[in-house]
Amino acid sequence: MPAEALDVLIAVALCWLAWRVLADRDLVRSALLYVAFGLLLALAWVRLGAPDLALAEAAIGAGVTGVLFLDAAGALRRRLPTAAQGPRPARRRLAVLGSAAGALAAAGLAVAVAALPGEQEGLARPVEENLPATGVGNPITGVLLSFRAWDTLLEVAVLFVGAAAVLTLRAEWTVRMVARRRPDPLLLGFARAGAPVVVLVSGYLLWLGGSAPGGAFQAGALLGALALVLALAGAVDPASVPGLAQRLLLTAGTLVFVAAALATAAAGDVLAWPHELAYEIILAVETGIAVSVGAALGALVLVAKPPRREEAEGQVPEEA
Amino acid sequence: MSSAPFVVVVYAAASVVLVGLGVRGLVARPNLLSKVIALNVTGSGVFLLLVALARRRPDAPDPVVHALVLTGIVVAVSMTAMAVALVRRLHRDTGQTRLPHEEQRP
Amino acid sequence: MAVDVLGAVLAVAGAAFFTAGAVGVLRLPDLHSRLHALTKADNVGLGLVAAGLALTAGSASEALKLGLLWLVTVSASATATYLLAATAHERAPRSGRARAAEVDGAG
Repeated sequence: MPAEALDVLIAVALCWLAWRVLADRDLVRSALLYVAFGLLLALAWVRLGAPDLALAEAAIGAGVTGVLFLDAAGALRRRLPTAAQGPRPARRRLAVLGSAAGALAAAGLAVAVAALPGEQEGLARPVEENLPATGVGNPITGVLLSFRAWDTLLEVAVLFVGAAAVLTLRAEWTVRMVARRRPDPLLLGFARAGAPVVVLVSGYLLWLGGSAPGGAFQAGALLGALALVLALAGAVDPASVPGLAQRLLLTAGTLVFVAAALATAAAGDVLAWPHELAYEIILAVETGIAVSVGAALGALVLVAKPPRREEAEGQVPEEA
Repeated sequence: MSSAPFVVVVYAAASVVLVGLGVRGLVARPNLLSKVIALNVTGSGVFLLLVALARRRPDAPDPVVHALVLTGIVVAVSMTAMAVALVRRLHRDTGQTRLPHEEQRP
Repeated sequence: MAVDVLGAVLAVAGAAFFTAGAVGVLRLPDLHSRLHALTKADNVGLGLVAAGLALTAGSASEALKLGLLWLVTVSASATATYLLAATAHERAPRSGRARAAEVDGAG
């Protein structure tokens, strides 16, 4: 009984938070509520038996996405005074249209879901049976880096492309603004003291992912958070990182993965790790992924700020 | 779905609500950042539905679905970052936070 | 058996502290007093919950990990709270009550 009550509570809270996130006029409040929404969603993942997802959601879904929204909300609010919301009839029309679309989507989805069988075998058995062949003990890691390695390769490439695309919008490193305004000794001390701990925990999560909930993406998210804290504290100026190092950090995951794929292609079967070396190869690929995910997440947040107009016109922006 | 475990039904129902709210927000809110947030809420709803459905066998939750959603979370953040960067660039260049046909008067 | 009960009692006590922190955020008038209530209550609450879970943990290493979790959370939350309070003070060094009224009024 208490377990059911908890699930109902979490589900209702999720719906209520989503409503508040989207109904609030103030973007900053929306962003903050979205962080709460993400954290509650992480709790839902735990309740649904997906601790790996909970780790990723808390760090990436709530943390990184929340920071992106919060930073953007602050910037968008700062520049414009509270402008007119637009002609009244247009807003009402949009609201009605939106409610109709939302209701239609929800109703269609509800009908489709209700028609599904209540019991479904799924792929758990085949995965479990073939897991020993992958060399790892965590079924999700096995799926990500062995059975569906192709999808993970593309995913890492997508993350890199996203970071590259954001960089090509010729944005400037946000950190210059923050550190110049108020270099804070406490934040700096926290960043410096915390850095080795975070690297240790990240490495632990990476290694642990082979046999228990964890893995490359969660470890990468931690590294990304560390990069953010270090940059915002002023301990590291990302613009001062040499261009080659920046490129290597961002592409490490994709390069290692592609190299491994090409090697296996030359040996015969693409992305089929040889059984004796499977664990080591997976660990190596995962390390590359963690480094790149960390660099990409850091870049995505830090570079989101577009350059001030005066700097962009007439000056060539720094080579990223 | 009536024979599904209670927890599956509860979260599946919540996910339907999330998708509905997200779609509504995507259409109804003219502000571009709100649209991106709404898109994320919709995505979270879809993930919730997938994982809830994967838990129809509590002793053996489908790891392929979990891996899929994990991939989805990472791809969603890439998409969100790109969208937010575009919104901020539009705002810097035009001072607008809406699409051209819905521009605010200064 | 007694250890389990003690663990449960500690965890529930921790939950009570979290509730107190939430009530504090909702009921207190300005940013600084809210932050004060939030940090203190949440840190103690988390410590109690972690202690309760550590008692019922499977092994010593699990209990140690819970302790490490609490330490990291406390230091991160303390830093974050300080940054919030310092930024708020820097931006509006007038009375906290007036500031809170302005924030609430905007909503």
